[in-house]
Amino acid sequence: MKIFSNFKKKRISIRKATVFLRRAVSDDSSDTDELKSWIVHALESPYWEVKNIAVKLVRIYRFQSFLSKIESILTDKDEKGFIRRNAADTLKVLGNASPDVIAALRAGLKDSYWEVRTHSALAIAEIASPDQELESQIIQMLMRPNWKKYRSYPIWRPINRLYKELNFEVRAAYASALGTVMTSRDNLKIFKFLLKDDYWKVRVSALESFFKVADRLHLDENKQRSYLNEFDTTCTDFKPLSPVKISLQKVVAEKQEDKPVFSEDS
Amino acid sequence: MLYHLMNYLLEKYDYLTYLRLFNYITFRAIWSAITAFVVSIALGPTLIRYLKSKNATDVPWKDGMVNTEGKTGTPTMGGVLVLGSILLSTILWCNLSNRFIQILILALIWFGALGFLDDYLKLKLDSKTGLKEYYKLGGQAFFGLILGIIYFHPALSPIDPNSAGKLFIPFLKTPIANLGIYYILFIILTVTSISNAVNLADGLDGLAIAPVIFIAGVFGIFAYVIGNYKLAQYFLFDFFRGSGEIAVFALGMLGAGIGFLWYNAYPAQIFMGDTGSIGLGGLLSVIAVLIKQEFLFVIAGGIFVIEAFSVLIHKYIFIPRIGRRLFFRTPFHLSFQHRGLAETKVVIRFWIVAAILALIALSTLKIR
Repeated sequence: MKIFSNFKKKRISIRKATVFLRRAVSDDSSDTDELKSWIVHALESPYWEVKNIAVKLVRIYRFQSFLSKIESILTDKDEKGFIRRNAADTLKVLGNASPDVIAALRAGLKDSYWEVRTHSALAIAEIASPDQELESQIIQMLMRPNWKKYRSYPIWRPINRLYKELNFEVRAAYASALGTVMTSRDNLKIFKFLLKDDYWKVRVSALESFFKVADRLHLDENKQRSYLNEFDTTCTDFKPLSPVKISLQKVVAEKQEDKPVFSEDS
Repeated sequence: MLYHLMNYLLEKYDYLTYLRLFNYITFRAIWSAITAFVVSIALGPTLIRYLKSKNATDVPWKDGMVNTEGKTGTPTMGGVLVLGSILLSTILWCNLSNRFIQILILALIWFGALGFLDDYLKLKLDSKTGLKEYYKLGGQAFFGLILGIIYFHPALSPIDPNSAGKLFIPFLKTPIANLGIYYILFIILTVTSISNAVNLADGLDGLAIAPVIFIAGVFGIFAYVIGNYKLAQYFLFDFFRGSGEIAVFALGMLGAGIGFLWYNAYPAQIFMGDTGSIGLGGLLSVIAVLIKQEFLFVIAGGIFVIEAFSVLIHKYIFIPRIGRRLFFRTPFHLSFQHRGLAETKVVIRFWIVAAILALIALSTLKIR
């Protein structure tokens, strides 16, 4: 009987949490005070699903008052992976780059769950500033210690001899983060490897980051071009374009602007 | 129909000896495949136009926004085409007095109707769920129960009811167990799991239909061997009289599948919907049960097994209990898309794997 009553309690809590989430997603105006007081209790809930929704709501409504609680959730290894991941994402959206937030994100970079590492790195990419310590930490987590000995991307040797981080999603996020935090020209060589990564998502992140860093460090054009020559432009994906839908989109857009469908401009 | 007609003509006019050709399973199986293929190709455009006229599609233009990517605007319920082609070729080429075929026709109608209802509710109610999960499972399990009862009924069973409870696995020539009446539970489990596995895999253009084609071919060959006394003895299978007729049905599935792939290949002009995925999954499961090669599906249908297990492990263990992901995304094919592989690449690689698994499954004919 106790099992059933616990199950019923859990279902009711989750249902209530889902109602708040649906209202938030559908942009329905909610009573902020009621919501905040619910979030205070929900962040201490024994049900991880309810806690997870509470963290998401803090992100959606950007409640800065819960910042320290979100930091502690991110660094709490006993929390479920999804909650820690959403906590990292929430810190990114809240946009507060205080030392405590950066410290929490640094702890997130070492998390055992890959989604937490990814979102922590993406949060750093979004909110952090150039920081030598962060740069060193990210490089240490990304590459094996002997990476600088490699002259170019290894063809014959297995890739895990170069990278410590084997998850491509995390590598792509680390590459994005490096674009924000890199301060040293000595570590630029890392882009020679990232721009040739096996996964195109990592290469794209690395390309965008490289040019951010190049601007910040005032790299000359020849140097930038030499790195660009390393970039592998092959891709295993493509964006399909439906010519019929593109035409429909054009017509709909013009109609919405009250333009005539056929005009000299279009 | 043609089988019965030609046999009638042969009896009446015994000089028409060439009509004996219609008694050969191999001849009828090949022409069943060709008929189903031709019917699919011929009726495809008409069905596509009809489904569009009935708004059996997602609208690409909503709330002033046009979705230029994605699959909106493509008609669903294309399973009607596949199942209709199979039914037509079965009626034309199969021996309709054969109990195996009668059971398969019943399965086609049952699972086709279940899938059709699911698709219809999704479109009518404009919802993503359609028929509730427990109704779907209940419908599949109910047919499994009926099949089990037929299997053990002395008057209705297509095989010797004393052999009905035997459990065979690939590579072993003798059954590993005789479950007796509890075999009915095993049948229910087989039917629900295979039917749902195909349903889960149907997510990309051409992803589900090609493995179904390969599996139908494999089961067709096994059915032919098991239904031929000399071959069954040679390959050390239990002989089931009349089961060779399943090969005609299975090759009809193969032909219908290839015809459907004509329109379903990327970028798809039509989707099979749940009508097709539940229907075809149900048929494959019933064939597996009828020829007692349920575990062969684990090899031949390995793609579907992996997809189903990935969803089960993720949805019921990792996410609710552990609160994190194991795979990037599930069903498993979505993980490959998430890693940055184009849809077409994922589909073709899955076809390659499905073909290799089919070959391995065929090799178990000899490795016993």
